[in-house]
Amino acid sequence: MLLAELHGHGIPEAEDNEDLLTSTVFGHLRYIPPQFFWSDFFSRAVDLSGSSGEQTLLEILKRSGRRVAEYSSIRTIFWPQHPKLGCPDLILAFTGPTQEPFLLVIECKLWAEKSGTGEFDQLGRYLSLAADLAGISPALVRDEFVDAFFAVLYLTPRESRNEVEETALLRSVSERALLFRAQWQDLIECHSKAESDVETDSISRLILGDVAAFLRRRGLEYFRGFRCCALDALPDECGRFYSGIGSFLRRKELKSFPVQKARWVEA
Amino acid sequence: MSGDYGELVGSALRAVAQLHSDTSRLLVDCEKHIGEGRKSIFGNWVTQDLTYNMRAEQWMAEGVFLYYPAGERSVDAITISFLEGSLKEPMFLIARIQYAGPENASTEEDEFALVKSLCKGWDLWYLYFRGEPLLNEVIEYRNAEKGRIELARAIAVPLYSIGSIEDVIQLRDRLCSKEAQGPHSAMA
Repeated sequence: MLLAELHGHGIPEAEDNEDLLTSTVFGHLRYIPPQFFWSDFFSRAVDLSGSSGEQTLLEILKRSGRRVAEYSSIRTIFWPQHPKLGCPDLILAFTGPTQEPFLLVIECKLWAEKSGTGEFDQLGRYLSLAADLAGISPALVRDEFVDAFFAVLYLTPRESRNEVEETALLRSVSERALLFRAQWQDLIECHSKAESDVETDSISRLILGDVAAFLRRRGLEYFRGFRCCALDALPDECGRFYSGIGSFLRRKELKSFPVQKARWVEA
Repeated sequence: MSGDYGELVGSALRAVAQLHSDTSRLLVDCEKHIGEGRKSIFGNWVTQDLTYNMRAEQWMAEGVFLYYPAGERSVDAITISFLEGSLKEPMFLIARIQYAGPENASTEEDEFALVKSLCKGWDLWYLYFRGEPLLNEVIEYRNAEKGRIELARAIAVPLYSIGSIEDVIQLRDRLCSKEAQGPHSAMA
Protein backbone atom coordinates (compact mmCIF):
# COMPACT_ATOMS: atom_id res chain seq x y z
CA MET A 1 0.00 0.00 0.00
CA LEU A 2 2.79 2.39 0.93
CA LEU A 3 4.62 2.09 -2.35
CA ALA A 4 1.43 2.10 -4.40
CA GLU A 5 0.41 5.34 -2.74
CA LEU A 6 3.85 6.89 -3.17
CA HIS A 7 3.65 6.12 -6.88
CA GLY A 8 0.22 7.57 -7.37
CA HIS A 9 -1.77 4.34 -7.11
CA GLY A 10 -3.35 5.00 -3.72
CA ILE A 11 -6.97 4.34 -2.88
CA PRO A 12 -8.62 7.64 -1.95
CA GLU A 13 -11.34 5.86 0.05
CA ALA A 14 -8.67 4.33 2.28
CA GLU A 15 -6.97 7.59 3.19
CA ASP A 16 -9.07 8.21 6.28
CA ASN A 17 -8.74 4.66 7.56
CA GLU A 18 -6.63 4.72 10.71
CA ASP A 19 -6.07 0.95 10.78
CA LEU A 20 -4.53 1.05 7.31
CA LEU A 21 -2.40 4.00 8.33
CA THR A 22 -1.25 2.16 11.45
CA SER A 23 -0.44 -1.07 9.65
CA THR A 24 1.30 0.72 6.78
CA VAL A 25 3.52 2.79 9.05
CA PHE A 26 4.31 0.27 11.79
CA GLY A 27 4.34 -2.61 9.33
CA HIS A 28 7.48 -0.95 7.96
CA LEU A 29 8.92 0.47 11.17
CA ARG A 30 9.01 -2.98 12.77
CA TYR A 31 12.00 -3.73 10.55
CA ILE A 32 14.04 -0.91 12.08
CA PRO A 33 16.39 -2.39 14.69
CA PRO A 34 16.54 -0.90 18.22
CA GLN A 35 19.86 0.84 17.48
CA PHE A 36 18.29 3.39 15.14
CA PHE A 37 15.28 5.69 15.17
CA TRP A 38 13.49 4.37 18.28
CA SER A 39 15.41 6.36 20.88
CA ASP A 40 14.75 9.51 18.93
CA PHE A 41 11.07 8.65 18.58
CA PHE A 42 10.74 8.00 22.32
CA SER A 43 12.46 11.31 23.01
CA ARG A 44 9.47 12.96 21.33
CA ALA A 45 6.87 11.08 23.35
CA VAL A 46 6.03 13.10 26.45
CA ASP A 47 4.08 12.50 29.63
CA LEU A 48 1.79 14.93 31.38
CA SER A 49 3.72 17.75 32.92
CA GLY A 50 4.35 17.18 36.58
CA SER A 51 6.25 19.43 38.97
CA SER A 52 9.40 19.00 36.90
CA GLY A 53 7.73 19.67 33.54
CA GLU A 54 7.08 17.21 30.74
CA GLN A 55 9.37 14.20 30.70
CA THR A 56 10.04 12.10 27.67
CA LEU A 57 9.57 8.37 27.43
CA LEU A 58 13.28 8.08 26.65
CA GLU A 59 14.20 9.86 29.88
CA ILE A 60 11.91 7.64 31.91
CA LEU A 61 13.36 4.53 30.27
CA LYS A 62 16.90 5.68 31.03
CA ARG A 63 15.91 6.30 34.63
CA SER A 64 14.63 2.73 34.83
CA GLY A 65 18.03 1.54 33.66
CA ARG A 66 16.99 0.67 30.11
CA ARG A 67 18.85 1.77 26.99
CA VAL A 68 16.70 1.35 23.88
CA ALA A 69 19.71 0.98 21.58
CA GLU A 70 21.00 -1.91 23.68
CA TYR A 71 18.01 -4.15 23.08
CA SER A 72 18.61 -6.85 20.53
CA SER A 73 15.13 -7.29 19.12
CA ILE A 74 11.69 -5.76 18.69
CA ARG A 75 8.54 -7.75 18.16
CA THR A 76 5.42 -6.00 16.94
CA ILE A 77 2.07 -7.48 17.86
CA PHE A 78 -0.72 -5.87 15.86
CA TRP A 79 -4.20 -5.62 17.37
CA PRO A 80 -3.57 -7.84 20.41
CA GLN A 81 -6.76 -8.86 22.20
CA HIS A 82 -7.58 -8.88 25.88
CA PRO A 83 -10.95 -10.43 26.82
CA LYS A 84 -11.90 -7.60 29.18
CA LEU A 85 -9.70 -4.64 28.33
CA GLY A 86 -10.07 -4.50 24.57
CA CYS A 87 -7.78 -4.33 21.60
CA PRO A 88 -5.08 -1.66 21.32
CA ASP A 89 -3.55 -1.07 17.89
CA LEU A 90 -0.20 -2.62 18.66
CA ILE A 91 2.35 -3.62 21.22
CA LEU A 92 6.08 -3.19 20.73
CA ALA A 93 8.08 -5.67 22.78
CA PHE A 94 11.78 -4.76 23.19
CA THR A 95 13.96 -7.56 24.51
CA GLY A 96 17.63 -8.35 24.88
CA PRO A 97 20.04 -10.30 27.06
CA THR A 98 21.54 -7.32 28.88
CA GLN A 99 18.50 -5.59 30.35
CA GLU A 100 14.88 -6.00 31.43
CA PRO A 101 12.26 -5.85 28.66
CA PHE A 102 10.18 -2.87 27.63
CA LEU A 103 6.56 -3.19 26.49
CA LEU A 104 4.92 -0.28 24.74
CA VAL A 105 1.21 -0.34 23.96
CA ILE A 106 0.42 2.08 21.14
CA GLU A 107 -3.04 3.40 20.42
CA CYS A 108 -3.18 5.24 17.10
CA LYS A 109 -5.77 7.75 15.97
CA LEU A 110 -6.31 9.62 12.77
CA TRP A 111 -9.16 12.09 13.16
CA ALA A 112 -11.28 10.31 15.77
CA GLU A 113 -10.77 10.80 19.49
CA LYS A 114 -10.31 8.01 22.03
CA SER A 115 -13.39 5.96 22.77
CA GLY A 116 -15.14 5.24 26.05
CA THR A 117 -15.62 7.29 29.17
CA GLY A 118 -15.13 6.67 32.88
CA GLU A 119 -14.11 3.08 33.59
CA PHE A 120 -14.39 2.32 29.87
CA ASP A 121 -11.99 5.10 28.89
CA GLN A 122 -9.90 3.54 26.14
CA LEU A 123 -6.48 4.71 27.34
CA GLY A 124 -7.43 3.84 30.92
CA ARG A 125 -8.28 0.27 29.88
CA TYR A 126 -4.94 -0.09 28.13
CA LEU A 127 -3.15 1.13 31.25
CA SER A 128 -4.88 -1.71 33.07
CA LEU A 129 -3.25 -4.20 30.70
CA ALA A 130 -0.10 -3.85 32.82
CA ALA A 131 -1.80 -5.89 35.55
CA ASP A 132 -2.73 -8.77 33.25
CA LEU A 133 -0.16 -9.08 30.49
CA ALA A 134 -0.62 -12.84 30.52
CA GLY A 135 -4.20 -12.32 29.37
CA ILE A 136 -3.17 -10.83 26.04
CA SER A 137 -3.68 -12.82 22.85
CA PRO A 138 -1.61 -13.65 20.86
CA ALA A 139 0.37 -14.45 23.96
CA LEU A 140 3.49 -12.56 24.89
CA VAL A 141 6.46 -14.77 25.62
CA ARG A 142 7.81 -14.73 29.19
CA ASP A 143 10.96 -12.85 28.24
CA GLU A 144 8.81 -10.06 26.87
CA PHE A 145 6.75 -9.30 29.93
CA VAL A 146 8.45 -10.54 33.10
CA ASP A 147 9.91 -7.45 34.85
CA ALA A 148 9.03 -5.38 31.82
CA PHE A 149 8.76 -1.63 31.93
CA PHE A 150 5.25 -0.96 30.65
CA ALA A 151 3.93 2.22 29.03
CA VAL A 152 1.04 3.37 26.85
CA LEU A 153 1.63 5.74 23.96
CA TYR A 154 -1.21 7.69 22.39
CA LEU A 155 -0.27 8.55 18.79
CA THR A 156 -2.41 11.18 17.10
CA PRO A 157 -2.22 13.73 14.27
CA ARG A 158 -2.82 16.62 16.69
CA GLU A 159 -2.17 17.71 20.25
CA SER A 160 -3.95 15.26 22.53
CA ARG A 161 -3.05 16.58 25.96
CA ASN A 162 -6.63 17.22 27.01
CA GLU A 163 -7.63 13.64 26.09
CA VAL A 164 -4.67 12.21 27.99
CA GLU A 165 -5.36 14.47 30.98
CA GLU A 166 -8.93 13.24 31.02
CA THR A 167 -7.66 9.66 31.33
CA ALA A 168 -5.07 10.62 33.92
CA LEU A 169 -7.73 12.13 36.17
CA LEU A 170 -9.37 8.70 36.37
CA ARG A 171 -6.18 6.84 37.22
CA SER A 172 -3.64 6.64 40.03
CA VAL A 173 -0.52 8.81 40.07
CA SER A 174 1.68 5.81 39.28
CA GLU A 175 -0.44 4.87 36.25
CA ARG A 176 -0.50 8.47 35.07
CA ALA A 177 3.29 8.29 34.84
CA LEU A 178 2.97 5.48 32.28
CA LEU A 179 0.92 7.49 29.83
CA PHE A 180 2.67 9.24 26.95
CA ARG A 181 1.62 11.06 23.83
CA ALA A 182 3.25 11.81 20.48
CA GLN A 183 2.15 12.80 17.00
CA TRP A 184 2.47 11.08 13.64
CA GLN A 185 4.41 14.16 12.57
CA ASP A 186 7.17 13.21 15.01
CA LEU A 187 7.98 10.18 12.86
CA ILE A 188 8.97 12.50 10.01
CA GLU A 189 11.17 14.50 12.36
CA CYS A 190 12.88 11.27 13.39
CA HIS A 191 13.48 10.40 9.76
CA SER A 192 15.16 13.78 9.19
CA LYS A 193 17.47 13.10 12.11
CA ALA A 194 18.20 9.54 11.01
CA GLU A 195 19.06 10.85 7.53
CA SER A 196 21.81 13.02 8.93
CA ASP A 197 23.10 10.29 11.24
CA VAL A 198 25.97 8.48 9.54
CA GLU A 199 25.42 5.40 11.70
CA THR A 200 21.93 4.66 10.34
CA ASP A 201 22.20 1.61 8.08
CA SER A 202 21.05 1.76 4.48
CA ILE A 203 18.00 -0.51 4.94
CA SER A 204 16.72 1.55 7.87
CA ARG A 205 17.33 4.71 5.88
CA LEU A 206 15.28 3.33 3.00
CA ILE A 207 12.41 2.26 5.25
CA LEU A 208 12.35 5.52 7.19
CA GLY A 209 12.49 7.49 3.95
CA ASP A 210 9.49 5.62 2.55
CA VAL A 211 7.49 6.03 5.76
CA ALA A 212 8.30 9.75 5.91
CA ALA A 213 7.30 10.23 2.26
CA PHE A 214 4.05 8.38 2.91
CA LEU A 215 3.23 10.53 5.95
CA ARG A 216 4.08 13.69 4.04
CA ARG A 217 1.74 12.59 1.28
CA ARG A 218 -0.95 12.22 3.92
CA GLY A 219 -0.22 15.74 5.19
CA LEU A 220 0.99 14.39 8.53
CA GLU A 221 3.99 16.67 8.89
CA TYR A 222 4.68 19.70 11.03
CA PHE A 223 4.37 23.12 9.46
CA ARG A 224 7.68 24.16 7.92
CA GLY A 225 6.66 27.31 6.10
CA PHE A 226 4.44 27.89 3.12
CA ARG A 227 5.34 26.27 -0.17
CA CYS A 228 5.39 28.71 -3.03
CA CYS A 229 4.35 27.93 -6.58
CA ALA A 230 5.66 29.90 -9.53
CA LEU A 231 2.87 32.18 -10.67
CA ASP A 232 2.95 34.59 -13.56
CA ALA A 233 1.14 37.86 -13.04
CA LEU A 234 -2.58 37.53 -13.33
CA PRO A 235 -4.53 40.35 -14.92
CA ASP A 236 -6.78 42.58 -12.79
CA GLU A 237 -9.94 40.79 -13.75
CA CYS A 238 -8.36 37.49 -12.91
CA GLY A 239 -10.75 34.61 -12.70
CA ARG A 240 -13.65 36.43 -14.33
CA PHE A 241 -14.98 34.34 -17.16
CA TYR A 242 -18.73 34.64 -17.40
CA SER A 243 -20.63 37.85 -17.97
CA GLY A 244 -23.99 36.64 -16.73
CA ILE A 245 -25.68 37.66 -19.95
CA GLY A 246 -25.08 34.54 -21.89
CA SER A 247 -21.52 34.57 -23.02
CA PHE A 248 -18.20 33.50 -21.65
CA LEU A 249 -15.88 36.47 -21.36
CA ARG A 250 -12.77 34.46 -21.92
CA ARG A 251 -13.98 31.72 -24.19
CA LYS A 252 -11.47 30.34 -26.60
CA GLU A 253 -12.35 30.86 -30.25
CA LEU A 254 -13.21 27.57 -31.81
CA LYS A 255 -11.62 26.78 -35.12
CA SER A 256 -14.16 25.91 -37.81
CA PHE A 257 -14.43 22.27 -38.70
CA PRO A 258 -16.38 20.49 -41.41
CA VAL A 259 -19.78 19.10 -40.45
CA GLN A 260 -20.79 15.75 -41.81
CA LYS A 261 -24.44 14.89 -41.74
CA ALA A 262 -25.25 11.69 -39.96
CA ARG A 263 -27.51 9.09 -41.49
CA TRP A 264 -28.90 5.72 -40.54
CA VAL A 265 -27.37 2.75 -42.21
CA GLU A 266 -29.73 -0.01 -43.08
CA ALA A 267 -28.58 -3.37 -41.81
CA MET B 1 -7.16 37.13 -25.05
CA SER B 2 -4.50 34.67 -24.02
CA GLY B 3 -5.09 31.02 -24.74
CA ASP B 4 -3.06 30.23 -21.65
CA TYR B 5 -5.35 32.15 -19.35
CA GLY B 6 -7.24 29.10 -18.13
CA GLU B 7 -3.96 27.38 -17.33
CA LEU B 8 -2.85 30.45 -15.41
CA VAL B 9 -6.04 30.42 -13.34
CA GLY B 10 -5.54 26.68 -12.87
CA SER B 11 -2.09 27.41 -11.43
CA ALA B 12 -3.54 30.07 -9.16
CA LEU B 13 -6.16 27.65 -7.86
CA ARG B 14 -3.53 25.00 -7.23
CA ALA B 15 -1.56 27.62 -5.31
CA VAL B 16 -4.67 28.35 -3.24
CA ALA B 17 -5.15 24.66 -2.54
CA GLN B 18 -1.52 24.46 -1.43
CA LEU B 19 -2.04 27.53 0.75
CA HIS B 20 -4.98 25.85 2.45
CA SER B 21 -3.07 22.64 2.96
CA ASP B 22 -0.08 24.45 4.53
CA THR B 23 -2.41 26.57 6.63
CA SER B 24 -4.06 23.41 7.93
CA ARG B 25 -0.65 22.16 9.08
CA LEU B 26 0.04 25.51 10.70
CA LEU B 27 -3.27 25.37 12.59
CA VAL B 28 -2.55 21.84 13.82
CA ASP B 29 0.80 23.08 15.14
CA CYS B 30 -0.87 26.14 16.70
CA GLU B 31 -3.20 23.76 18.48
CA LYS B 32 -0.15 22.21 20.12
CA HIS B 33 1.97 25.29 20.84
CA ILE B 34 -0.63 28.03 21.32
CA GLY B 35 -3.62 25.93 22.41
CA GLU B 36 -1.30 23.91 24.66
CA GLY B 37 -3.86 21.19 25.21
CA ARG B 38 -6.80 23.53 25.79
CA LYS B 39 -10.05 22.69 24.10
CA SER B 40 -10.78 24.93 21.14
CA ILE B 41 -13.90 27.10 21.55
CA PHE B 42 -15.25 25.95 18.19
CA GLY B 43 -13.97 22.37 18.34
CA ASN B 44 -12.63 21.17 15.00
CA TRP B 45 -14.35 23.94 13.06
CA VAL B 46 -12.08 26.72 11.87
CA THR B 47 -14.32 28.62 9.50
CA GLN B 48 -17.95 29.49 9.01
CA ASP B 49 -20.38 31.33 6.72
CA LEU B 50 -19.54 29.26 3.66
CA THR B 51 -22.32 28.78 1.22
CA TYR B 52 -23.34 25.67 -0.67
CA ASN B 53 -25.83 27.65 -2.69
CA MET B 54 -25.54 28.00 -6.46
CA ARG B 55 -25.97 31.73 -6.04
CA ALA B 56 -22.71 32.80 -4.51
CA GLU B 57 -19.90 35.31 -4.78
CA GLN B 58 -17.50 32.54 -3.89
CA TRP B 59 -17.40 29.16 -2.23
CA MET B 60 -13.92 29.46 -0.79
CA ALA B 61 -13.29 30.27 2.86
CA GLU B 62 -12.12 33.86 3.24
CA GLY B 63 -10.33 32.97 6.42
CA VAL B 64 -9.93 30.54 9.29
CA PHE B 65 -9.77 30.98 13.05
CA LEU B 66 -8.91 29.27 16.32
CA TYR B 67 -9.89 30.40 19.81
CA TYR B 68 -8.78 28.98 23.17
CA PRO B 69 -10.15 29.97 26.57
CA ALA B 70 -7.57 31.92 28.55
CA GLY B 71 -9.42 32.57 31.81
CA GLU B 72 -11.35 35.61 33.09
CA ARG B 73 -13.60 35.87 30.05
CA SER B 74 -10.65 36.01 27.68
CA VAL B 75 -9.45 33.97 24.74
CA ASP B 76 -6.22 33.41 22.83
CA ALA B 77 -7.20 33.97 19.23
CA ILE B 78 -5.65 33.23 15.87
CA THR B 79 -7.17 34.28 12.58
CA ILE B 80 -5.80 33.85 9.10
CA SER B 81 -7.33 35.98 6.41
CA PHE B 82 -6.90 34.65 2.91
CA LEU B 83 -8.93 37.26 1.14
CA GLU B 84 -9.77 40.67 2.46
CA GLY B 85 -10.45 43.59 0.18
CA SER B 86 -8.27 46.17 1.89
CA LEU B 87 -5.07 44.15 1.90
CA LYS B 88 -3.10 42.70 -0.96
CA GLU B 89 -2.01 39.48 0.69
CA PRO B 90 -3.12 36.88 3.23
CA MET B 91 -2.57 37.91 6.84
CA PHE B 92 -1.86 36.14 10.10
CA LEU B 93 -3.46 37.67 13.20
CA ILE B 94 -2.90 36.66 16.79
CA ALA B 95 -4.56 38.25 19.82
CA ARG B 96 -5.64 37.99 23.42
CA ILE B 97 -9.24 39.17 23.65
CA GLN B 98 -11.11 39.84 26.88
CA TYR B 99 -14.87 39.98 26.70
CA ALA B 100 -17.01 42.31 28.81
CA GLY B 101 -19.23 40.74 31.42
CA PRO B 102 -20.32 41.11 34.99
CA GLU B 103 -18.96 37.88 36.34
CA ASN B 104 -16.20 35.33 36.05
CA ALA B 105 -16.99 31.63 36.05
CA SER B 106 -16.05 29.56 39.06
CA THR B 107 -15.12 26.31 37.32
CA GLU B 108 -13.18 25.53 34.18
CA GLU B 109 -16.29 24.08 32.54
CA ASP B 110 -18.36 27.15 33.36
CA GLU B 111 -15.59 29.39 32.07
CA PHE B 112 -15.55 27.46 28.78
CA ALA B 113 -19.32 27.78 28.44
CA LEU B 114 -19.22 31.46 29.31
CA VAL B 115 -16.48 32.30 26.83
CA LYS B 116 -18.17 30.20 24.15
CA SER B 117 -21.32 32.25 24.60
CA LEU B 118 -19.38 35.51 24.23
CA CYS B 119 -16.90 34.65 21.49
CA LYS B 120 -17.73 34.92 17.79
CA GLY B 121 -15.62 33.30 15.10
CA TRP B 122 -14.79 36.47 13.22
CA ASP B 123 -14.14 38.66 16.29
CA LEU B 124 -10.45 39.06 15.63
CA TRP B 125 -11.05 39.60 11.92
CA TYR B 126 -13.46 42.47 12.59
CA LEU B 127 -11.28 43.98 15.31
CA TYR B 128 -8.35 44.19 12.98
CA PHE B 129 -9.93 45.04 9.66
CA ARG B 130 -12.37 47.62 10.99
CA GLY B 131 -9.50 49.49 12.61
CA GLU B 132 -6.32 50.76 11.07
CA PRO B 133 -4.61 47.59 9.79
CA LEU B 134 -1.14 48.20 11.24
CA LEU B 135 1.50 45.61 10.50
CA ASN B 136 3.78 43.89 12.98
CA GLU B 137 2.85 46.17 15.90
CA VAL B 138 0.94 45.45 19.05
CA ILE B 139 -2.46 47.07 18.62
CA GLU B 140 -4.70 47.61 21.62
CA TYR B 141 -8.48 47.76 21.35
CA ARG B 142 -10.86 48.86 24.12
CA ASN B 143 -14.63 48.61 24.27
CA ALA B 144 -14.91 47.25 20.76
CA GLU B 145 -17.87 45.58 19.06
CA LYS B 146 -20.39 47.75 20.89
CA GLY B 147 -18.77 47.05 24.22
CA ARG B 148 -18.88 43.25 23.85
CA ILE B 149 -15.09 43.19 23.79
CA GLU B 150 -13.59 44.92 26.79
CA LEU B 151 -9.95 44.76 25.85
CA ALA B 152 -7.85 43.16 23.18
CA ARG B 153 -4.25 43.16 22.07
CA ALA B 154 -3.38 41.94 18.61
CA ILE B 155 -0.50 41.66 16.17
CA ALA B 156 -0.83 41.13 12.43
CA VAL B 157 1.85 40.03 10.00
CA PRO B 158 1.76 38.87 6.39
CA LEU B 159 0.96 35.17 6.40
CA TYR B 160 3.91 34.37 4.16
CA SER B 161 6.28 35.83 6.74
CA ILE B 162 5.45 32.86 8.98
CA GLY B 163 8.13 30.28 8.28
CA SER B 164 7.69 28.03 11.29
CA ILE B 165 5.67 27.63 14.46
CA GLU B 166 8.49 29.41 16.31
CA ASP B 167 7.52 32.61 14.47
CA VAL B 168 3.99 32.27 15.87
CA ILE B 169 5.30 31.62 19.38
CA GLN B 170 7.43 34.75 19.11
CA LEU B 171 4.39 36.83 18.15
CA ARG B 172 2.42 35.34 21.04
CA ASP B 173 5.28 36.20 23.41
CA ARG B 174 5.34 39.76 22.14
CA LEU B 175 1.62 40.02 22.84
CA CYS B 176 2.05 38.73 26.37
CA SER B 177 5.15 40.78 27.06
CA LYS B 178 4.54 43.70 29.38
CA GLU B 179 7.32 45.50 27.58
CA ALA B 180 5.39 45.70 24.32
CA GLN B 181 5.87 49.27 23.20
CA GLY B 182 3.31 51.84 22.26
CA PRO B 183 0.02 50.05 21.85
CA HIS B 184 -2.14 51.80 19.29
CA SER B 185 -5.72 52.46 20.18
CA ALA B 186 -7.95 51.39 17.36
CA MET B 187 -11.59 51.62 18.19
CA ALA B 188 -13.54 48.98 16.38
